[in-house]
Amino acid sequence: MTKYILKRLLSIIPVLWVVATITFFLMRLAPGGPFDSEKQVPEEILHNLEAKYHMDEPLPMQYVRYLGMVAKGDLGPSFRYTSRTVNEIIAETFPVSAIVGLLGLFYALVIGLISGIFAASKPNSARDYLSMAFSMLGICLPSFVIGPLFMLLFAVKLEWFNVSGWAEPKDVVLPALTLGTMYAAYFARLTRAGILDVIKQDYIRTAHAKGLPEWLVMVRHTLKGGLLPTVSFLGPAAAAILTGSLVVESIFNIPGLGRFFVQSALNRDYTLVMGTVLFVAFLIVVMNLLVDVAYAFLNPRISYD
Amino acid sequence: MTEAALKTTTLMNQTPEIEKGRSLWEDAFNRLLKNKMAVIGLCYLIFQTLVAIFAPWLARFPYEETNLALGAVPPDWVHFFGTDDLGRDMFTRVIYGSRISLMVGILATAVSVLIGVLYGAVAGYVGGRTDDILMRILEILYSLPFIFFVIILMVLFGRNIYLLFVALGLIEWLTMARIVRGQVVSLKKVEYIDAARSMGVGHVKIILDHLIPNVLGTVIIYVTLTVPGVILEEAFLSFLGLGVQEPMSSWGTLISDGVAAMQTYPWMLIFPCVTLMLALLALNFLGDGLRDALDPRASKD
Repeated sequence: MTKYILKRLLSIIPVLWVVATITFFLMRLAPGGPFDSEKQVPEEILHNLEAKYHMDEPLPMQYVRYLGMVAKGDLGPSFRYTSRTVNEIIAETFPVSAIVGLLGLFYALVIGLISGIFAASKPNSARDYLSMAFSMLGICLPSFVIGPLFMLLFAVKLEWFNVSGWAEPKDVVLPALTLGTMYAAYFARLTRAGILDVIKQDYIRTAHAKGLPEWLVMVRHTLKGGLLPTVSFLGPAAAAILTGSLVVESIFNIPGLGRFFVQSALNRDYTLVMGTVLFVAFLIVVMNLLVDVAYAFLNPRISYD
Repeated sequence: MTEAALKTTTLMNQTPEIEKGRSLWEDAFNRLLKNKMAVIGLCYLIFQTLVAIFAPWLARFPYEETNLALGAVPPDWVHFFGTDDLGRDMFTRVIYGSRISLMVGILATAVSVLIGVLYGAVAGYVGGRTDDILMRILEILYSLPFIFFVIILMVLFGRNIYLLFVALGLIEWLTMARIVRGQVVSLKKVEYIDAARSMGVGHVKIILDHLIPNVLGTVIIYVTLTVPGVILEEAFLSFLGLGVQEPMSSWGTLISDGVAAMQTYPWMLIFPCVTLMLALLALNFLGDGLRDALDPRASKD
């Protein structure tokens, strides 16, 4: 197991290298630069700017320089927000996205597990069809549809929440609900399918034969195996929630990483874009690793050596 | 994409059905017809596609012409879905939007099928070192935040609709490749492949004639799950203002416009949202139905 984790940790490096390389050359190959602006910048100032950010060097040298910096954990200065480094901007905006994302994921898991177990506890009954109908609806409600609808209902009509902004603690509720709903639906379907798969196994019948009450069979035996698909979907779900934050943060006007990313891409802020993408890739890889380790603990049938 | 991704594991773990003449497909079709929701989904999709194709004849107003004097009017018998704040007929914009959305869905999926099936078939069929290397590459690609790359692409190279097809297709082929490889690896050991090989049939011909037709069922199931994924991604990009450009519209751009105006003209938000949702629902029901029909062993209950 330790060997497996070490191997996986090492595999993070090539992934990040590929990400850094693709983003670096994508940004540089594209027409337009970070210092293009409405008003014409005098030639000398442009030269000075380019010299300051080493943009006047040949591309391969810039590439090597950038990789060297990234290896040391330094994502460089931002081109647009001149007084700040990319590290500072990420440190400032990521906690906002993380709170919204974690709450969204938590909500998705709780609702998904409850309705999945509820549906699977009596397959093909009215409650099963009802919860699956709701989850099908949830799957077809992307964040940019459900977000505005929540806003219209809870903020504009009922006035329970602020329409947008990030001033009060309760401002986190609507974005988190928006992010989580679609994944609650996925979790519900996965949980149901997982449980129905396990329920036919001999050891469940044995548990019933021992005379264990229904709920104890569910908690002690069925859930352990039945939740495997749900656990393995945690990684992709967390990654998707990260991307979802792009839209949700724009809708609710939240100063998080996602909104900054779109803005920095439009500004051609090379270092900020590359830094954000690298950071997100790193998060995704680490989350996948955590999920795989959790999976191995839950499922003794899998060996990783 | 996600819905499909979770089904991947199930799809990859089972041995594929071996086709017996045409009867397997007939069986599958009969099973599909018994699934009410899938049939409704299929009918709705056919209807939606016809509406998209015949949009120029169905629309009673030009979609790009603004009428500022008219402004935003609520739905009535002239403008079924109302008009937007520039006086454009929303019904016209929605049905023209469905052309773009459906086209992106279909073409990007086609790109993903083409790459995914070939990549997966080669990896699975050749096996050994090649397979190892191809799968390593796939693993690395899997952990890339692709949607971020697409955003960078769209921002830097301009909002080009052909680029959008390719970019979205490039995201989606990964899972397809994995599924096809899994199927081919298990198919490869089947006797008729041995028989073909011992008769001296070439590798390319074996892949094209024997392997790909037999993974077709799985591919079809996965396609019905990829199309809604791609439609969602296009809407996502358009919502951020990175998809198709004015005066062209897709469901994503219409929803984005609708959000901006939702407090004063809610119909501008509601109609595109409902249209998108109905299409996604229909595709998902059809996908579920097809999975049960083509792959009876995969259905859980």
